[in-house]
Amino acid sequence: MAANLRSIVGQHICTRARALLQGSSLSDLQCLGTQKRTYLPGVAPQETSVLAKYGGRNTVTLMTGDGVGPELLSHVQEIFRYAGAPIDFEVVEINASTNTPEDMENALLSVQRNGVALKGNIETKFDDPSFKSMNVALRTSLGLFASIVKCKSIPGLNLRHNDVDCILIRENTEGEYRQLEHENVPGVVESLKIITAEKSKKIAKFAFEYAEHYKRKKVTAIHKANIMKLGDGLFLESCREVAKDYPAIEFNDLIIDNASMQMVSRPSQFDVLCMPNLYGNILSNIAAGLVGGSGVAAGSNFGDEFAVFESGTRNSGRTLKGKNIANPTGMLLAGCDMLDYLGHNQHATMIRESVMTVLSEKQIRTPDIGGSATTLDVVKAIIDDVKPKTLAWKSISEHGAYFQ
Amino acid sequence: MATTLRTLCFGLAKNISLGSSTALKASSLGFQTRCFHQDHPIQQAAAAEPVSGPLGRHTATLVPGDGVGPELMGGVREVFKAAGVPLDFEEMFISEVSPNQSADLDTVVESFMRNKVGLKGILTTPTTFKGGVLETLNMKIRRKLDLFANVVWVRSLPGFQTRHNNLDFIIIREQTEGEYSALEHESVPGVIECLKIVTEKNSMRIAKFAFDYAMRHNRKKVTAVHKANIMKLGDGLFMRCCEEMSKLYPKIEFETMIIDNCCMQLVSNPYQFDVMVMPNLYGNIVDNLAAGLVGGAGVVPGESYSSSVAVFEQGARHAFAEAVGKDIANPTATLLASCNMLRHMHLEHHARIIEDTVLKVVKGGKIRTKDMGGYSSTSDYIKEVIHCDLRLSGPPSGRGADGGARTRDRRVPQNKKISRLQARASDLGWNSNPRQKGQCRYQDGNACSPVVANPPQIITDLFDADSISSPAHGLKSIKNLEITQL
Repeated sequence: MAANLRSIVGQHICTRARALLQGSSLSDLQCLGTQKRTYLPGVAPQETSVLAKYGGRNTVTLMTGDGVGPELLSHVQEIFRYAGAPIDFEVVEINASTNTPEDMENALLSVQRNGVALKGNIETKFDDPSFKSMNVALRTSLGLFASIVKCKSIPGLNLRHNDVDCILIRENTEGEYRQLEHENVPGVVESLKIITAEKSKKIAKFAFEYAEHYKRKKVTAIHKANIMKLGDGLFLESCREVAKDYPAIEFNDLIIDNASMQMVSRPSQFDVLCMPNLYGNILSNIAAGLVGGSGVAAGSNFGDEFAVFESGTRNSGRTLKGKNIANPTGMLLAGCDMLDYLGHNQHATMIRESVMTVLSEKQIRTPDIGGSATTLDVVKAIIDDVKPKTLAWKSISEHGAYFQ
Repeated sequence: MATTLRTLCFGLAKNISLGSSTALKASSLGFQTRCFHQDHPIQQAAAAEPVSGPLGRHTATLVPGDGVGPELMGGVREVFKAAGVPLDFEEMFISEVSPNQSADLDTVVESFMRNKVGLKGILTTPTTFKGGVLETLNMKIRRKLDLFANVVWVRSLPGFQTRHNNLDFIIIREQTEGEYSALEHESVPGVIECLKIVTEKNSMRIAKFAFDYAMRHNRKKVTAVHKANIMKLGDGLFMRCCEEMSKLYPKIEFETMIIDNCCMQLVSNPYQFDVMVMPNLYGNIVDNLAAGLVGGAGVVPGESYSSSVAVFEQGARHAFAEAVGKDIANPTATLLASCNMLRHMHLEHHARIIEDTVLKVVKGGKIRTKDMGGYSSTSDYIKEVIHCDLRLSGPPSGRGADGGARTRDRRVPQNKKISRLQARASDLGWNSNPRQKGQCRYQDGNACSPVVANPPQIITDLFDADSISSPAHGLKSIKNLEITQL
């Protein structure tokens, strides 16, 4: 009898223990994104093991970078504050002058801790061969394999094309950027471009998932397989193979030279583009140029675990430094993408709308997109637009009324 | 150039938009904003201007809890109303001891999940087992919400003398597993096994939380507390996880300490601690011990976090059921917790106003509840907070902090004059930013930072007489209360 009872009790305990071990760490209500990791913005991983997210507030690494980076990032902070975005920034100072292994290590650790970073571009000196690009180092060591540049025409800007709306997705870690160069014989330099099936498939899958998630219609693979039949051929083949899994999305491919021409003559035909590293670099600069230059496009980099957000074209804007004329739009939109990624969609939408209102309706623009306003004017206008949407001011007047 | 311009612009905007009492603060902030890389000026500025979420108003769940909870929460509501906080409460009563009036557990959990933020009183847990489920209601809520981390920031209140003053350290406790697994059984009659569960996943998570918390608040050291010399596997795992996590944070010093030694150190030299991280039961004990060091359960706020939900409550969990209806409970802890909640929701402005006022009332020493050695009632305290609040944040009355305020005249309602002075002092001081450049967050007589070296002296001068001279009767009542409350 007693043994019987004991075994029943024991069973009960065993099931409880199992339930505890399996279920205690994550409640049923919020475990989305833990089973199947997805890289897409808006479906950010919920695990605190990756993100420093507690009680709904995220800590985010802020890498200052060179040129106008520090200025623009401080504006972003200011606007986030006014928008009440639940973000705390951990500022890591990193730029071309702090090029020591420790600085690099610190920056990397910080991103590893927080999972997400907002970054100004770091300059690369190209005259010194021993100087490895810190941007590239960051991308490879964090495993940020995909880079996204969003180019969308801002209504009201007086530009050649007003119907650009494309997403450029670029393989970020291999190809021409492996930094494998050597001089076999004096006067002969070999520069290795590496293409692997694994990474090509990964980026293609990423592009298709992105297209599916954002309800895009078409994915275009860009390559030069007519010349590099093996290397780019492999990339193209991988894309084709992945495309079979996504029958709802149209797939085609274009050769890079033709793609560049099409991009400047009829950009509206492009939707989502999927490219190896160097082509992606060139084409995203072209596309960014179409919508208003490097100050307007937002960029982001995704890896399996980490995400880094930056301006779309990776210029540091050294010449604009301290002149108060840099365009904050690109960095701000990148910040909004970051908010989306972290699940703060409300704040992201609010800031994005304010940015568009200021640029299109109020027409307060920096010189690079045909205006005459300073960076500060634009930021101030955005803040003025954001403020009433948060309405805390109203409660202050209520406070006054309470005592009268 | 650009940054200077920006500074000017924002500095000016702040000066214009603020009352004269905070103008000093604003201009000094404007100056600081210039050095962008110095980490915090932006967050510091956040206190100067009110900001809220996109919808304008927030909603938070309110669980009043057992014992004096409902009374204290009523006080919080009153204060919030007076301070014009754009916050609505979704109140639901849940209790283990009066199950008939209790709301459904799932409803409460759903409310917390939806609002992401909540204020919670203490739920009493009966010590006797009458059959049924072993897991307590508190644990059920914690598990369902996955509130894995509990933070108690132990700080001495300025002007309130206890055995140790100027304490400032943080206790972080894992609170979903360990001894609280509610897995107990009788294997043989007369022999009970009680399972303590330690998992790598949860240990890593709490370790990461502790280090992240330390980073965010500019702390220097994390101490992992354990009993790995006895429980070599269980606590050993916890300790190893902390060690491993510390490698990601090279700037933060890491050390381990055994729980028994830790308790001794806490009562003999608590100043050595900065951030402490520990498993469930040790955390519970140390929370209470540390709360006792700075004045008891009535003055220490606490908070619990999951990745998406934050629940704010008292640091040491006592429902104080003996005091129900007697109007003697100390609302300090609940009010400070509610301020932490506001700050968490980006309502820094309101949090600042209320926290300033509460600390001012404590420091003023005239209105104190019994456990702090005074004779005032809960409602007096709340009333005082509301009226001080008016003085601090309302339109400038024109009565400045002139020399007259320094003379100690008992017949003059001192608080008015003091509040001006103190507003000035707090402009320079403790609240705006934790531990920047090593200063204490609560400035007390002992000024740790060069910035606050001057004003506190004036204030201690003014207050010493009032705050220390609590008569013997008051002291006795403290003792009695401590016994009943703890």
